[in-house]
Amino acid sequence: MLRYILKRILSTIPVLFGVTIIVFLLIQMIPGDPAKSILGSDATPGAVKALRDEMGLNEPLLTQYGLWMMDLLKGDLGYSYTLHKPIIDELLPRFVNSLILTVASLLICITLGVMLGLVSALKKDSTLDKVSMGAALIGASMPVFWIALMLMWLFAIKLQMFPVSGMYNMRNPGGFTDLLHHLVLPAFATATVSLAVIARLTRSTVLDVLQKDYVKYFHSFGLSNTKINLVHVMRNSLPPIINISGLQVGYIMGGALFSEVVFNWPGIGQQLYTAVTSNDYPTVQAGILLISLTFVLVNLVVDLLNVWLSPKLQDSIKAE
Amino acid sequence: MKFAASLKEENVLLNIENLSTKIKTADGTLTVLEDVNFTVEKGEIMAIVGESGSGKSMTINSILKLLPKNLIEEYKGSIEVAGKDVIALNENKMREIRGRRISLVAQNAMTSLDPSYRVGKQIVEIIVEKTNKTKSQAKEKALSLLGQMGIDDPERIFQSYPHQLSGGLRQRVVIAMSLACDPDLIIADEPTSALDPTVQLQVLDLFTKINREFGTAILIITHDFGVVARIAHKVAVMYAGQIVEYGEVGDIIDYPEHPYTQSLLKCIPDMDWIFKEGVHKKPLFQIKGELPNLLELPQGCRFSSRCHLAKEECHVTKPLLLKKQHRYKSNHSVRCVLNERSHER
Amino acid sequence: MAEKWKLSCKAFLSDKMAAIGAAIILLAVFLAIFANFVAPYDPNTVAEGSTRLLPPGTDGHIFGTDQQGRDILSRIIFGTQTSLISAVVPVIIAAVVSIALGIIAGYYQGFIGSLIMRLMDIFFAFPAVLLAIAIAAILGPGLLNVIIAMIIVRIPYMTRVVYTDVLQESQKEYVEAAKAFGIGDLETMFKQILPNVLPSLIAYATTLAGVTIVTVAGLSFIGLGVQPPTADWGRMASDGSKVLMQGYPHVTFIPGIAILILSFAFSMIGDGLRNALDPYEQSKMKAKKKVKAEKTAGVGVGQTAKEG
Repeated sequence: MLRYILKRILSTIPVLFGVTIIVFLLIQMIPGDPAKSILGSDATPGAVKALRDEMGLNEPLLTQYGLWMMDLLKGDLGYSYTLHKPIIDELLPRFVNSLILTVASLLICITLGVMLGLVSALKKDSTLDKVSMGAALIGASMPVFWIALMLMWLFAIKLQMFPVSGMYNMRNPGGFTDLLHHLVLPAFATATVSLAVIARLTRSTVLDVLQKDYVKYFHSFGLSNTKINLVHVMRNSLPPIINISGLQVGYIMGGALFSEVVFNWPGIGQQLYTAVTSNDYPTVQAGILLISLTFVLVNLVVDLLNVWLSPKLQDSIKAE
Repeated sequence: MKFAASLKEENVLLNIENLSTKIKTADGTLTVLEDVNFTVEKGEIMAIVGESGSGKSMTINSILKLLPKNLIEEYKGSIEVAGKDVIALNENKMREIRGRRISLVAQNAMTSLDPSYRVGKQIVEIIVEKTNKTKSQAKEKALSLLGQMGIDDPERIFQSYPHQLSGGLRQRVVIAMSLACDPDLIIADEPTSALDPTVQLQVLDLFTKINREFGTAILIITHDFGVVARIAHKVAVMYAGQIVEYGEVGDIIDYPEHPYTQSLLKCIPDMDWIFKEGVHKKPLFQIKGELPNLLELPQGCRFSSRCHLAKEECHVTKPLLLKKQHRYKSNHSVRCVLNERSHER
Repeated sequence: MAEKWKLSCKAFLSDKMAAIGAAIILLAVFLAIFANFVAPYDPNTVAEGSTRLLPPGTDGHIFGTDQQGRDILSRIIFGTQTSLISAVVPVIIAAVVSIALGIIAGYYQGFIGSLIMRLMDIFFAFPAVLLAIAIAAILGPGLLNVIIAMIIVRIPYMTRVVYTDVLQESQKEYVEAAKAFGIGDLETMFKQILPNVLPSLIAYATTLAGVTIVTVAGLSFIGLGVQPPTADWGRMASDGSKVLMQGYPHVTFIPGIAILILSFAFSMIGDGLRNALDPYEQSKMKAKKKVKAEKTAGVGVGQTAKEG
């Protein structure tokens, strides 16, 4: 078993390498000369060449990649000429902020999604069921930025229950409560689509499990519904739910970007947006890299979770 | 049709009288059980025999009221467990009976055990929920039960997951589960159908042992008269939702009265047929035709369209379940128009 | 085979949601093609101050106007063009590529198979939306670049779907039979396996088209994609967000609703297709047909003729 875990962890390394290669190549695809765009159109060829030397752009591609990778492993994400500071100084705190938003969104969509799906399944065909599944159907097709704008309009502008933007109150930054207050709308906006997806999946999984022979068998022993639901139904519904929740992480990480833009949440997504619009390619590169590396690690965790939850899978692995 | 009157009341665990069950389907109301009467006494092994669709499984579901409420059109008649009528009972009271007085032995052991938990934990769960034993006491009991099921290494099986066990082992676990709370009666629905022949015999012998040592009554549903012959005391033959013959096993096997029972017994190939050398063997006996559609039942006897003894009146008159008088005065009854006629003579 | 398609069509159309979805798509296509005739105003005409930011329901402007005085209804109608193109074109092209890659990988397996799937796995390391943003950002603005970005992003998912299907099909007996008959690989792959894999891929692709609409709208929202002044729903929502604080929600909401409706329609069709192709649904349809036929023929349901 341990061997399998180690194998699985080690197999992420080539993937991580692949990610760095793709990100590197992506940046190479950008038309134009980065040195030129930094210095402007009336820069002298000599100045351009000097900057290119400094940036290491005149080396062969493989060398550039190697140098970049070595920097990476040292924790150096490069230098942003637009921001005039090392990228890591800008991105790292923002990364943490995005993490807060992403984790909050995940918590919301998983807990609320599973609860909604569970209740809908147990009260199948009731009004609650029909309404929530209808809402989930529509919710799954909504663009995140639109949900963000709607929430902002309703709760921040009209009802003034929540702040319109930012992570803390600018004039009077509070502590944890202030953070939570600012976190609510962006987190819910990011979570909505995934919440809908998880709710629908939970409902169909639970309905499936409720039809299983063992559930009926335990009923025949006169165990209470609550006991059976908690012990047998939930446990056996978990694998697909965890699976889909893992998939949702990717969507949430993408959706968080839009929430950050709309609510001006100082995260890495917002920085990416600014970098894209200001042609700050080193920052774009570093940002995508950070996000993707995180994503790969998250996938690893989800995969291992899946195995942990399935005794059958564990046995077939041990047999190999 | 009261048998109970002739039996001592306190010995009767289960008394079914005039039970009719109707369920709602997409195509209309189906009468799945009609006029079903039988009893199960303490320490008795009773068998119900019939083809698929005869109403055997419906009977069990009706006894323990396990059918989803919205499917049921109505229950008529009475189901008495230890003298108390069960039909009127609410769900809470019903739950007290399930598992403690009457439990089911699952038909398909593979799908009836929760694949995500160890087998021992599932047995313990039932004991802890239904009795006031502590967890460790429950574990002791579970281990002892597993041992009594003929399992050599109860500790190892206790820790196993369902998919790690062979078919025979799983069946023993399921039987142990059903006995976990010392019920008075266990109901086994086709407990041997999914097993190899050698394992089948082992399981059947296990049932006999349980009956003798624990005194547990057993209601066994099967389509195989061989099973009936091996372990049952009493048998009821069902066809299309009705009981067509009922009585002691020896009696019925030796003197089957109903044409359907006779046909069922003929279906079992005898040893001669299997091993006889020879070019021309008689073809295996087949009962012609199909079960009637329960939505559009024929006017007379339900078996008449397939009966080799059928007369004109069989298609028109509905026969009742009546006793057949024997020299031995046993409680052997038949539902057959021809039997009624001979009665009248 | 034809029987199977007929049953599928019946099952599909009896699904109300799918039928509604199909109707919406047809409407959108109609609007896209005949935008010039249907739209009451030119979508790009900027107007004077008094006609700016008119609320919905105003005379002559059912959906109101935006901060540049442009009629929102007309912009929505013209927006169907970009929305449909940016959803359907990438999905179709990606599907074609995925079929090729998936069939080759699934049929031959071995080295080529793992190579292709490993390549796809690397793309799976990126969250889809972010990959789309990255590619679109690098390629630059414009409808064509958005389409290219979406093609690249969708290929891994579709390839994996085709691959798993082809793997399953390859285990089936007719493939062995084909090999035994000496039928060439290419013919087996495309004439034998492909028809069995195609239906579920089409269902998946349709659902994916719905997701693509939302993703593309997101790209437009942050400035990548179709450039002004072309009417595009995502861009309209972005413009509208600027006047949200000032109390004009309709400018950003209405395009959002359009995106939602179109995406929803595709999803419904995709769901409907998936259900229609489900063999269980097909057998239900068959059973219904049988009952109907028997009832009209006067034979009792379920009864067979008596044997002699």
